[in-house]
Amino acid sequence: MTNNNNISYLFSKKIDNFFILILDIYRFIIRFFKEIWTSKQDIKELTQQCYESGYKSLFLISTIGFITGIVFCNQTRPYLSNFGALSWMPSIISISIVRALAPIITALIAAGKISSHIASELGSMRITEQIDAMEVSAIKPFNFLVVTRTLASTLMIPILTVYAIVISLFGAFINIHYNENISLNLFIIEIFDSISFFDIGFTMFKSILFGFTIGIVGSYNGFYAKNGTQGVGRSSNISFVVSMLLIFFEELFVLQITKLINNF
Amino acid sequence: MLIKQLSLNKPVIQVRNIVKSFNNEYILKNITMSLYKGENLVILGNSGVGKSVLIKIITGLIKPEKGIVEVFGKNIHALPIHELNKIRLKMGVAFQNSALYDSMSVKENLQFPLLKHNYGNKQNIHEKTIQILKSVDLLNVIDKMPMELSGGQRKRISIARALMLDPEIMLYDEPTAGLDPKNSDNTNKLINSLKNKYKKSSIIITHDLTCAKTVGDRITIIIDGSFFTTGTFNQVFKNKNDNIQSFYSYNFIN
Ligand SMILES: Nc1ncnc2c1ncn2[C@@H]1O[C@H](COP(=O)(O)OP(=O)(O)O)[C@@H](O)[C@H]1O
Ligand SMILES: [Mg+2]
Repeated sequence: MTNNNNISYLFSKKIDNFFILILDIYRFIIRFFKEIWTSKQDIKELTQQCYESGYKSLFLISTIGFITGIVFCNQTRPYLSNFGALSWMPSIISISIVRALAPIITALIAAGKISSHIASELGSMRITEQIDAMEVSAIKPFNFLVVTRTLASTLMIPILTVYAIVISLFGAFINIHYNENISLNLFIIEIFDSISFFDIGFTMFKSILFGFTIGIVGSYNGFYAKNGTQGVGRSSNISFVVSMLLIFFEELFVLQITKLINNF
Repeated sequence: MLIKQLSLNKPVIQVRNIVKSFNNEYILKNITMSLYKGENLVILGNSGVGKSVLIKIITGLIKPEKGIVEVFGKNIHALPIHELNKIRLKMGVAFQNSALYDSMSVKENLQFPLLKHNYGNKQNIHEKTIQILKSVDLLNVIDKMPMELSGGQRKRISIARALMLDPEIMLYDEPTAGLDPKNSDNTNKLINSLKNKYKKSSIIITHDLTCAKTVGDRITIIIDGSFFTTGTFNQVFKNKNDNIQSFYSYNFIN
């Protein structure tokens, strides 16, 4: 008893499915915001998830942040020294780190660690019917799993970004201190002179956006995983790729906004 | 005799003309059944006929294309989620693959729904956990993680977890599959004692004809997407239909 012939598509199967997917993701996001306001959140699970997403990427962010600070100084030095502008080092480095490097590095690491982990965790819960089990015992799995994890990454990515900024600047300071012999005091003064309130604001805004993206992409892919173990691997992989791409698009988007505002 | 007596009761679950297909292939073609208060209804059927799908339809996890499911007189697929959840609290499901939360210990698995719904204080919940673990004879694994359990142990823990909220209706999806004869026997006894002591109504999906014979007040068998016949064990297998006789000879190992 099959009735393959009765299905008609608006455009073609692929194009239709693409729009259905977009609609589905849109609904998922709307549901997230609705649930935040209308349901009681599981604070214990939220804390646990914050801890996990923070803790999971801490080592990578420390290492990569520190190395970035050092390497970036080494790469910038020759150019500045050609212009005899070595004294600009601290301000140039800190602007780049605060505005661009630290947020993007943090977000990319989190896309790899957190987004794909959420997808594989929720995916395996889906295929082993743990999500069904929650649902039949009247526990809202969307709330317990998706809202907590997405909120956790939205909260933690900005915090991790601040941490990444501090670590990278520390790396940069070590490098500059040994080469240009600048004291910590002077370094810190230069940093605060060159970074504006706007810079911090936009970086925080960007990180919140990145964190939300990382959480929601991982949750969506995991929550609707299918096709067994293979499907879980796929969801996890897709989450990494998609959240990484989105992060770059959002970076571009925020850049445009900054330009607009600066032109005012 | 018994069936007559049961039908005087009000049905707690009533399923009418359910149709469900996946990818254009019809799995359930016309399912109609009732579960009466205080009875054990056994559903038989070869693997892949859609028994687990039927349980998911009854609990509102899957929507059927056609047909109505009424639990305690309410059409569950037409209810808003908070109403549906009230009814779900009266149903306990022991899933085919156990579906234990694998990030939680056995104890946490059992207590999770109670804590989420603020049922009772810590002391009461703890006592309840001990009592229910004793009833499935698994008090010794209380602090283990699901990964550390055998398949049969998980199965029994999933029954225990379903019992924690004191459901009026229990749905067992192949409760004795993969259990050794002794544990199968214990599970059958548990299912019967829940009916006798607490007047629970249950649907038991199984392949195991010993289980069907031991626990079933009524037996029904799904063949080609609908129920073929319903009756006591002996009534059903008296039927000379080829499908039924081959089901009997393949599955009745004892
Ligand atoms: N979510 C689903 N998507 C697609 N097909 C499904 C889904 N759930 C079940 N099926 C199909 O429905 C059929 C019946 O499955 P099931 O109810 O698990 O059988 P059983 O009677 O052994 O419990 C199987 O062929 C299965 O592949
Ligand atoms: Mg099944």
